[in-house]
Amino acid sequence: MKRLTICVFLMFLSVQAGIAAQFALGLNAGYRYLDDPFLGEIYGDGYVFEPYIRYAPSSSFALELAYEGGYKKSAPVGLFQENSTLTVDGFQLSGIVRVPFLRIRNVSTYFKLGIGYYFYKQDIDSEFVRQQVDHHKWTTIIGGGVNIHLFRGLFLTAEVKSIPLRVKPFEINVDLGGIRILFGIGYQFWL
Amino acid sequence: MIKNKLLKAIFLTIFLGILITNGISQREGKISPRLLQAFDNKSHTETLTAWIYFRDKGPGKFEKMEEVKMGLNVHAMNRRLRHGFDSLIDEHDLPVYEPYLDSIEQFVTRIRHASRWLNAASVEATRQSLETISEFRFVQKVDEVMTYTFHEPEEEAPTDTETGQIPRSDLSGALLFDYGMSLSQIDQLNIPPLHNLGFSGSGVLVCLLDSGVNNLNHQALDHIDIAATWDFVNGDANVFDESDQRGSGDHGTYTLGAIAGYEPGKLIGPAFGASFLLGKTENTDSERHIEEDHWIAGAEWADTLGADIISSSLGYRGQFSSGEADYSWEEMDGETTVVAQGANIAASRGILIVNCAGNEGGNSSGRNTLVSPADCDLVLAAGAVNSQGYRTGFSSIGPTADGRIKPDVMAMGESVYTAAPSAVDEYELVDGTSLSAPLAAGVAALLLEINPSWTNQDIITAMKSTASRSESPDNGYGWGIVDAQKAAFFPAGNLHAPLHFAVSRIPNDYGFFYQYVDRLEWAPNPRNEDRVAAYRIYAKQLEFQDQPFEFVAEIDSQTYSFLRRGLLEDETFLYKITSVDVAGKESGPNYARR
Repeated sequence: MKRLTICVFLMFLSVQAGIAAQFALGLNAGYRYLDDPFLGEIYGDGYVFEPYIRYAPSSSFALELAYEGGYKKSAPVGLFQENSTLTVDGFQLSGIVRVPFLRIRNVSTYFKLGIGYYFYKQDIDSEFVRQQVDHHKWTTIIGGGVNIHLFRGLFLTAEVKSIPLRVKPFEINVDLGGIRILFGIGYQFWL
Repeated sequence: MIKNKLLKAIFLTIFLGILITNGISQREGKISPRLLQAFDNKSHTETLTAWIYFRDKGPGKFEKMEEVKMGLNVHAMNRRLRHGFDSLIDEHDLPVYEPYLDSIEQFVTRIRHASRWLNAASVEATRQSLETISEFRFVQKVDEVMTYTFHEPEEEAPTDTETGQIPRSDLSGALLFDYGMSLSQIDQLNIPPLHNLGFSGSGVLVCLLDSGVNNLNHQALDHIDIAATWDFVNGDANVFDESDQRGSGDHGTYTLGAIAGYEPGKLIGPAFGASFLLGKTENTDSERHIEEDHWIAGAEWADTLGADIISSSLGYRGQFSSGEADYSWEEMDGETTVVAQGANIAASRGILIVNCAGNEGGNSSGRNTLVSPADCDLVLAAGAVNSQGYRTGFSSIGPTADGRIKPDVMAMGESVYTAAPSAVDEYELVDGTSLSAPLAAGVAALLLEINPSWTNQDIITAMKSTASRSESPDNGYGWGIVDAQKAAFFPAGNLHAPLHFAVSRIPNDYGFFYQYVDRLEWAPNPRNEDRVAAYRIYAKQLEFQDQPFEFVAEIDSQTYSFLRRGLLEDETFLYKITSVDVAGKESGPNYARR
């Protein structure tokens, strides 16, 4: 969390220093896969949404701060099929490098590399459960996408990224990672 | 000056004299008179068999006790708890301190056994070595290991003309099994009604201490669940006869056949469904030449593996071979002989020992002819009757040296039909209280199956109180011929613990972690009929020392299982279950541990 705060603070400083920069605000939504075979069978894949803010000090590079939420799934778990809910969400800070794969007007492609700080929580509705899963973990993000610029700063996004998230809060290794396929809309502006 | 030197010399001589004399007397004080007497017949280089008793069990007693407690066999733990041994272990359970054994090992030819109960080691060593060992500070006493020759009964007519018990009659149509020629020995003890109810000793672990078993492939023995075997004479796990080793397993085949044989139409023993430990503790090379340290080692082994009952057709006394020591009739007081001491420790841990009374017959002097450990209070001594219920002439008589009535009960010991050692389908008629003991032990196994909360004392009380002469016991018949059916339902009216209580642990996978569920199962006790209103379950966590049992749940009388949820992997529990009647009165407990 501390590292994330520092990044946000640096973005804020650059703006305050009067460096002319492009910003973008946007919202992606889409589907995420859950790699863990056991939990995947119980809770399954799910939908996520991702509001973000981008800061682009140059035309080829941007920093993005995003929050991924929306994965909150309920299912019966264990021998006695007790009701439970799994929530996975987190913050992402990524560097975006524009790469000109496509020579099409108003379309830009990019590659994304970053870090994430993820929270995962399992609530089990049982008086017998003595262990509480409410943990967090740093992870890495790798992905890429396409921006289609419309008009007046509006753009559409299609993005695919992989966020591995192997955790072991107790004795079992669990893979909460998975591919995200997202689509969204954004608005870019100058400050 | 010269005077001073002279005085100094005198003083020094006296001082050294005191030291030497003290050393000698101390050493001699540690060596028993019996062993000193044996020394007289041996040269310095001849080997003797001796007990080396140690002063203590070394440092770190409490840590060791905790370690021993955690390693305690489930069956042994249940047995101890059933007997109110709540601390589960005591100092007797600690092993002999290894460095003491290492220290004496270099002086002896062989360490035969290390007995945790006696805190002693039996060794083969020369006189010189034993004298050296006796000087060690940690050695408390050095004594002879007694060896005996156990006599088989001579062929003779019964001497007792008084009827012990009229054989049971009117069995037509009442038998579920075809007992063949073993019917008379089984019927005499009124065992068929219990077999008819489906009891066969299932779930009871019986240890047979004998001469080994040389015909386990016999058609009447090949069904037996053998939990473990050990040959204490030769030091390996094979209790069969081996050409290069000492001893023959004929006698063990007879006794195992008598208690657990199962070949319908031929032979059915009382406890054919029990599990068995077979300990070879007797060397039969020269008649039945037996040594007490093997028996002690066998009894400790039985305790470690969780035996409920020891059936022992051995006894220590008798007419002895040349050079062998003797225990006198006055020493048959249940405390003096080394096997009696071992048997008493075994009984204190809840093991029921059924021992033959002996084949030394009666005499006119009024002295007992018992063998040890049949003289112990908590050992059920079985004497022999014939099929007509008369005491056989060879069956040893009481009382013990301290005046207690012995034998305790009688079972057939003449013409007992059992498996033959010679072929897989042959049978023999065998005599001896050696056969009475397994028959009585088989009844005890049935009683324990039906009454899992009973202690060894409860079983003895039930068997004696319902035997044929319970109103007027004497030193020939004891309390008389066993009545298994009456004993099993003695005393009527009490509430009894549920049967076959068992626990299994099931993992409960929540994805990120496991929790565990203990599945407890039991069966209703038919003795309770419809008097049970509920079952109560208690648990005690074993990781915490001296934690009491805590109430877990009360289950209705028609449910015979319970799932205890929310457990962590490293938590181990001991469970107890009781039957409860409508007034809230609880039966004795039955125990189970994961």
